[in-house]
Amino acid sequence: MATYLIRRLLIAIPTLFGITLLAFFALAIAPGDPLTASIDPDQLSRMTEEQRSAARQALGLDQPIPVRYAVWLGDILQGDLGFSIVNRRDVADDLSQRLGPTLLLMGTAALVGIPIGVGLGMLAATRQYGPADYIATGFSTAFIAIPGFVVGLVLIYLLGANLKLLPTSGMMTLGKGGDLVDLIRHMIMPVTLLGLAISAQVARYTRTALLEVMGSEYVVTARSKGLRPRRVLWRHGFRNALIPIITVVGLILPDLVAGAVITESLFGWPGMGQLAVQAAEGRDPALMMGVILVVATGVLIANILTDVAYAIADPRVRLGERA
Amino acid sequence: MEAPVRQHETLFRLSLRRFLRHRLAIVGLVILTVMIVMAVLAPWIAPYDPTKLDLRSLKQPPSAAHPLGTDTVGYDVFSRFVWGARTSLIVGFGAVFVSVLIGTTLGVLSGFYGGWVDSVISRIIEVLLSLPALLLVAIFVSVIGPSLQSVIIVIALLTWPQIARLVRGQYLVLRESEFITAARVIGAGDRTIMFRHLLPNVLGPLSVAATFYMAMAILLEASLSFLGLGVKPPAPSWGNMVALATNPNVLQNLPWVWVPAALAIALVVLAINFVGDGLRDAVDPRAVRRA
Amino acid sequence: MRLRALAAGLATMLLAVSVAPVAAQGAPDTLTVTRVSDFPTCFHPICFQTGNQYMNFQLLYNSLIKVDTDESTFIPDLADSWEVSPDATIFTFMLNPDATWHDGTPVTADDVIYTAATAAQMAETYTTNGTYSIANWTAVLGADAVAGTTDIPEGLKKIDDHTVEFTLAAPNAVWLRNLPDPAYMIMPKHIFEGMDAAAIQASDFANGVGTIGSGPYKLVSFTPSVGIEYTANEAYHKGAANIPKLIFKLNVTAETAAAQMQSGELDMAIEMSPGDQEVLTGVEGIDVVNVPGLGVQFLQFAVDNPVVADKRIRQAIYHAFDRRLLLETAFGGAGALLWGPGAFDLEDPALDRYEYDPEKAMALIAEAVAEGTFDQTKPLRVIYYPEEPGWMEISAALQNDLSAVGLNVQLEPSDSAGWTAKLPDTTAYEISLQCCGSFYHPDRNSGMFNCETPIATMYANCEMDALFKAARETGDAAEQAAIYAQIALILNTDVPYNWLWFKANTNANTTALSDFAYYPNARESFAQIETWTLTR
Repeated sequence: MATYLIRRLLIAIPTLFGITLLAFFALAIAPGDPLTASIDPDQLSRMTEEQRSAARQALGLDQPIPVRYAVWLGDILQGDLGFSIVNRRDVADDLSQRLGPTLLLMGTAALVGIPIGVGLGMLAATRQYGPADYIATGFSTAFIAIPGFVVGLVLIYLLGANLKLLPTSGMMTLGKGGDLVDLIRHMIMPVTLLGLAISAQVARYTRTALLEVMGSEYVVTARSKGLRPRRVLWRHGFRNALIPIITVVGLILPDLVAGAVITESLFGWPGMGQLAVQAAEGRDPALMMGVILVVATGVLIANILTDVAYAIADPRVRLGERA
Repeated sequence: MEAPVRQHETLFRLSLRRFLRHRLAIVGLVILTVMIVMAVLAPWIAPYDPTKLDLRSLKQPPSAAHPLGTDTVGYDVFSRFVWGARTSLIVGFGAVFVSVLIGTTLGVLSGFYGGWVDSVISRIIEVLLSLPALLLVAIFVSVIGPSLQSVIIVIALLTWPQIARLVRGQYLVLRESEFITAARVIGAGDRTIMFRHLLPNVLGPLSVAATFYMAMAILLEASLSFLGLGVKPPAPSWGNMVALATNPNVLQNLPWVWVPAALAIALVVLAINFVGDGLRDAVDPRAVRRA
Repeated sequence: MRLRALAAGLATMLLAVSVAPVAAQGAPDTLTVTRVSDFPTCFHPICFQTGNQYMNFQLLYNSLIKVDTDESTFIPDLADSWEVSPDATIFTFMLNPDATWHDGTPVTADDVIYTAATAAQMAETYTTNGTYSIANWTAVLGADAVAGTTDIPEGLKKIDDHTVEFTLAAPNAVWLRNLPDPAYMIMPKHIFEGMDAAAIQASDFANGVGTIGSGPYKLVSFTPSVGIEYTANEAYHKGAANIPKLIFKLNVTAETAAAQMQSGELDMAIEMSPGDQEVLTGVEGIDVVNVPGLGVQFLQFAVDNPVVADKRIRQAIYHAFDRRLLLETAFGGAGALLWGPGAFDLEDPALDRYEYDPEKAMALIAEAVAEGTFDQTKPLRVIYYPEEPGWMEISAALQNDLSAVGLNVQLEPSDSAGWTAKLPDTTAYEISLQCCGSFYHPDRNSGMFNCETPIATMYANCEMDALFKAARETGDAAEQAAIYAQIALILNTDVPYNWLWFKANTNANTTALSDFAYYPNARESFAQIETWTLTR
C-alpha cells in the first residue's frame, strides 16, 4: 500500500502541473483581462490607448503567455501565490479566508446528507415496493429533478423574507463576531439545501446498490440457509454495497473544497466557490490559479483516499494492478 | 428439435419485454414524447414570436391573449415556453450525443489497449475531473461566448470523462473473459473484438448512464443560466426562464413567468429518470423483480 | 430509544435558534447599509476605483467642501469658508480649527497640501490604477513639473495652519464643483509622510487596518467580502453623529438586497434593481424611493466604423428607437428623457427632440443608402452584458424597433469583462450600450471627447474641444451658458451618442430612519450622515 500511495502522489504532481497549464492558457485566451475587469468602464473609456498599455505593463500583462506562466510558476515554487488584481489583496490571504467557510458548509452538509441518504436508501431497499420505498424514492427522485437554485430561492423567500425566521445571506452578522448561535442560524438554510441534495443522490445509489446485492446469489443462498434477514443485510449485503456508496461519496468529496457555487452564490456565503466565480469574471490570473491549485490538490487527495477506501472495503481490489 | 435461436435477437426482445413491464418507464416515455412533439411543432403552436416584445402588455397574468401571461420585458411566456422546449431538449440530446461519442471512443481505446494509451487517456480524464467544474465552464464560456453551442460543448466536456471511465471499466473487466479468448482463438482481429463483441455488452450500462446524463444536462442548463453562463435572452430556453426567478419581483409577484418552465424541467427530468430506471431493469440480468 | 431522544434534542435546539428574533440586526443603535457589489481592499484615493469605496470614504474622510442634496449648493466640510478669485484661478480655504484625525491629531493645512501634492507627484500611478480622476490636483500650477518627484507644486500655498491657497495653471470655473469627489478627500500627512506609491498601497492603512480619517465615523473592523464596521466619531468637528454604530455590508447581490430588506438584515440599500420597487412597496416598515439620478443610459456609437459613420444613420436610430415608451413601460417612468448630453440645458428650441418617428428614420436611411454611405445589408452589432440593470430590456427593445425600420441588428451579449475588452476595438461593433457616469455639470461630458487622441466613440471635433475649454475658463455665467448652448447644438446634430434618459435610482430604507435625504448621485448620500437619526 505504501508504494502505491507514493506512486500515486508522484504521478499527481505532473497532473497538477498539467491542470495549471491548461487553466492558465484558457484564461489568457479569454477576451478581457484584469484591466478591463477591475476598472470602472467609465474610467476605462476615458483612458487613451497609451494609458491602457501603461496600465497593462504595470500589471505585467504585456508579456507573452509562456513568459507569464513561467513567472507564475517560479513564484509558486518560492511559496508566493501572487496578488489578486480584482480584490487588491494577496491571493494567499483570500484563499485562507475562504477555505474555512467552504469546508464548514460542505463538511456539515456532507455529514448531514450522507448518513440520511444511506439510511433512506437502506429503508427503501429493505422495504422495496412498500410505502416507505415509494416515499423515500419519491423524495429523492423529485429532489434530483428540480433545479437546486429554485428550491433555494423559494426557501429564502419563505423563511427569510416572508416569515423572517432565518437570516437570508452571509455567514454571520457583523458586530456579533464569533457568536455560535448566529453562525448556526446562518448555516441552517444552505446546509439544509445542500444536505438534501446530497442525501437524495446518496439514497438513490444506496438503494440501487443494495437491491443489486440483495438479489445476488450468495445473499439469496444465505437467506435460504435460514440466516436472519438483518444479519444478512449487514454482514453480507452492506459490505458489498459499500463500493458504490464509496463511489458516490468519492464524487462528492472533491466538492468539499471546490464549494457549491450555486449555494454559495444564493446565500452570499463567502467561500471558495464564490472566489472561483470572482476569479473567472475578473479574469484574474493569480487568483484563478490559486483557486485551481487548492481545489485540484483537494480533488487529487480525495481520489487517493477513495481508492484506499476501496481497498479496505473490498479485499479483492488490489491497488495498482492492471486487470 | 427446434432450430437454434440466435442469442442476439432474444436478448433484445427480452430486454424490450422487461422494459415494457416497467409502468413508470412507459409513463416517462409518454411524457418525453409529448414534450418532443411540442418542441418540434413549436413554430405552429406558439402564438407569438418568442423574441418579439409588446411593451404595452408587460407583466400581465395569464389571459386569453397570453395563455401564460407576459414577463418583465414584454415577451409572451407561452411562446417562449414552447420554443424553450426545443432549446432544452436539444441541449439534452446534443450534449449527451457528443459526450457519448467522445467518451465511448476514448473509453474503448483506453480499456482495450491498456498500456500507455490507457495511461495517457486516464491522465487526461483525471485532469478534467480535477478541475473545478464551474471554473472550466466559466473560462470556456467567456472564451467562446454564451450560446446554445457553447452550452452543449461545455456539458459534453464535463460529462465525457465519466462515460469514458465507465466504458473503460467494462472493457477492462470483459477483456479477459472467456468468450473473448475464444474469439481470439478463432482469429478475430482487434477491431472486430472491440466493436462486434465487446461494445454490445457495454451498450446496456452505457444507455442507462446516457439517460441519466441527459437529465443532468437539462438541469445543468438551468444552473448555467442561473450563473449567467447559459443560453442568453432573447433566445428562449427553460433554463433562462427559470433563472428569471432570481429577480425577487418575478419570484414573488409574477409566478407565471418561471413556474411553468421549472415544472417542465422537473417533469422531463423525472421522465428521463423513469426511462433510465426501466432501461436498467431491462438490461440488467441480475435485478430482482417481484412485481 | 436513544435515537428518539437525540432527535428530540436536535429539534428543540433548532426551534430555539429559529424563534430567536431576527430583529437582532434591527438594533436601535446600529444602522446596516449596503450598495450592491463588492469592495476592492483599498482605503486610499490612490486605488479608489468603485462606487462602494465612494460611499465608505464619505464615512471616514472629509473633502474641503461638499454639496447639498440639490447637487449645486456648497456646504462646509473640512473648510469652514472659502474664497474664489473673480477669474476662477485662485481658491482659498479656511479650515475648521476643531477638525481632528481619529487618533486625536489636529487637521492642519499641512495635510491638505500633502494630499494635493502627493496626487500630483504620483499622478501616473493614479492613472494606471484607473482611479477616479484627480484632475483637480493636476490642474494646480506646477503640478506637471512635480510628477515623479517629491516636490510641492508651486500653486499650493500654506497661508497659516488653517488656511490653504490653491493657484491653478489655468482658469477653471468647474474646479470647485469637482472638489466633493472622494478622490480629493484629505489624507493624514503624519501617517503617510515619506511613503512612495507602492508603500502607500501596501500600507496597513490602505488595507483597512488602523485606517484613520477626520470624518463622522471611525473604522472598527474590515472583513473582506463580509462587511465594514464603524463607530461614531465623538470628536467630529461638525458634531458627533446621532447613530452610534454603522455596518456597511459587502458582497450583497442585486437579487438578495430586496430579501435582506424584507428580513430585516438590512436597514438601507442604495441603487437597487428597478424591479425591487414593486417587491418592497407596501411592505410595512420599509420605504422605497425612486430618486432622479445623475447617471445616463445611452447608446455609444463607434463613429469611425464605416457602417455608422454617416451621422444620418445615427440620427435615424435616435428617431427609430421608441425610448419614451420603453422608459414608461419597462422602467415605470423612472427617469427623465434626454435628447442631448446630460446636464446641458436642453430646452433650446433649436435642438431636435428626436421623438419616435419611424418614417423620418426610414427617410434618413434611404438618403444615406442613395448616396452610398450606408450598406443596409451590413448588420449593426450591439455589444453589452445582460447583467447590467436595464440592458436586457433596452437591447431587446432596440432590436425590435430597429428591425421595424429595416435595420439588421445583431445582439452580442457577453460578460462584463468581455464587454469592456471589446469597447476599445471599434471595428468589432457598431453600437454599444453605455451607462451611468455622474453628470452634475455639462463639463462632465468633456472627458468623453479628445480630438487629438480620440477615445470612447472616437468622435473627434477640435472646435468643440476648444469650446469646452473656453467654458471652463470663463468666470462669466452668461458667457458660459452661451458656449454650452453651442456645444449642445453640435452634439445634438452629430449625435456620436444617443442619449436615452437620466436614470432614477431605486433606494430603500427602514422607516425607523429619519432626518436624512438621498442624493441624486446615490453614492453621495452619506455626505451629511451625522444628521441622520434612528428611532427604534
